[in-house]
Amino acid sequence: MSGLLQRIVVLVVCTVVAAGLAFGVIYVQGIPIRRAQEAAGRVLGDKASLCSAVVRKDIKTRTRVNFDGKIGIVDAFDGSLYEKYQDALPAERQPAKPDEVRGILCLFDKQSVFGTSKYGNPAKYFCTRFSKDLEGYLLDAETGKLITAHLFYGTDPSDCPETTDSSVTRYGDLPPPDEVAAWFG
Amino acid sequence: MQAANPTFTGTASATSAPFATAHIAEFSSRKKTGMLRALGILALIAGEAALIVGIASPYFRDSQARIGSIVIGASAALIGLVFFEAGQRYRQVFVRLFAEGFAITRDHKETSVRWPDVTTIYQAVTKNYYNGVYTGTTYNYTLHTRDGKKHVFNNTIKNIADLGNALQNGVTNALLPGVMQAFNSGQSVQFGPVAVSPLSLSKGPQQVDWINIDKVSVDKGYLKVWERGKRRATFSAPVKAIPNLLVCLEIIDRRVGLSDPKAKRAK
Repeated sequence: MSGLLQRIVVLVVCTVVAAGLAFGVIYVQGIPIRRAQEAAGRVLGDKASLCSAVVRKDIKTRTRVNFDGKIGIVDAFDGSLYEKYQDALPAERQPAKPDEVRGILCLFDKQSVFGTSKYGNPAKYFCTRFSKDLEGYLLDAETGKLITAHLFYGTDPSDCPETTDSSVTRYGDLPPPDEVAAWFG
Repeated sequence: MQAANPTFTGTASATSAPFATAHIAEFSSRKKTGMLRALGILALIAGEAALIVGIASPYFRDSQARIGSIVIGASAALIGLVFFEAGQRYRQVFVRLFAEGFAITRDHKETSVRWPDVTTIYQAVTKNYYNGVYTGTTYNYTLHTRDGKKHVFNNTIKNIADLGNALQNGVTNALLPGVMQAFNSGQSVQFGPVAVSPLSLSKGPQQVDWINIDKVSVDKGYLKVWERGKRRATFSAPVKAIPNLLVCLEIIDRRVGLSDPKAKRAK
């Protein structure tokens, strides 16, 4: 076998093996998400899919909402039940079956730059602080219509160091679950 | 004056038939490159997999993780390719020297070359220094055979300096009679940029008659020719560009003598 042919064969075989490996990884990556989606289906029924139709917008208001009824909180990224926030709701807000759901709160991740510090003159290194906020869109579970939207602010990222010899990043945490639960009043 | 090719008009092309005599020396590459190829293939597969995951997975929550997977995957795949290619190029090699020629074994396949079948041998020997401290010598010997094949021997082979000397001697012994015959019959013999004729030594338009040559030396990788009464070399040529260097130096030595010790050592 000539050198060129041998190289081509090795490259093709490696690519086929890598593709198999990659799709295996993607399958495994998706297992917890699929489980969470199934959980959403059990609790919310087909209402869990309402979030896929939400058109995101620039939310600046921080309004309270007076909404009666049971709520389903969905991670809009993958349509799964956002258990961390769902579990924080008071018992009277927790639906036991899809028929009881009156509202769907779709939560979208929103990462934004909280602040930047420069080191050196001229600036050689940077410290960038990111906050992880959640955009919440409350939908009527029956009609899918948007009732209101709200931006839940994540915690502040930790402070930048006084000095540094490399560029660094700092991330805040997602909004605390009780803050989301408290929003419904 | 007619120019002649400085090669011996021997018979046949490189042959894979074994030589009649037993081998007199054996050389092998420094390390097994199978490990390098295996590492390269592993890195290539892992890198490609990470790249595909980065591109195709719908489960990345933020773009930074996706970009990270793509960048790391592409880098690993590239490194894998480089390792694999290095392993391919420098596969385990055995060189056996015989009185009649040499045999190269690569991937269990042996090719033998008779000395008369070598048309040219180039050598490039470079001493390396880092901040004035000697860090080693790089050897590269390139042989061309009558059938158009090229054989390269470099530092991947253990004791390359000894192998290089043996190759130079074998090729020179085979080529010298034919070249001397051409030279003695009045022909000009070309060694890359340098031409040797019964009357003079020249490089392109720069020509020095033998009777006017003060000295010829090999210094820092250059063949230098001094004319009588001149403080600076009349011309110089890089040794690595001169095919069959030892044949060339032999003719010069026989014509004017190589007084310079470095040139004598090279010869």
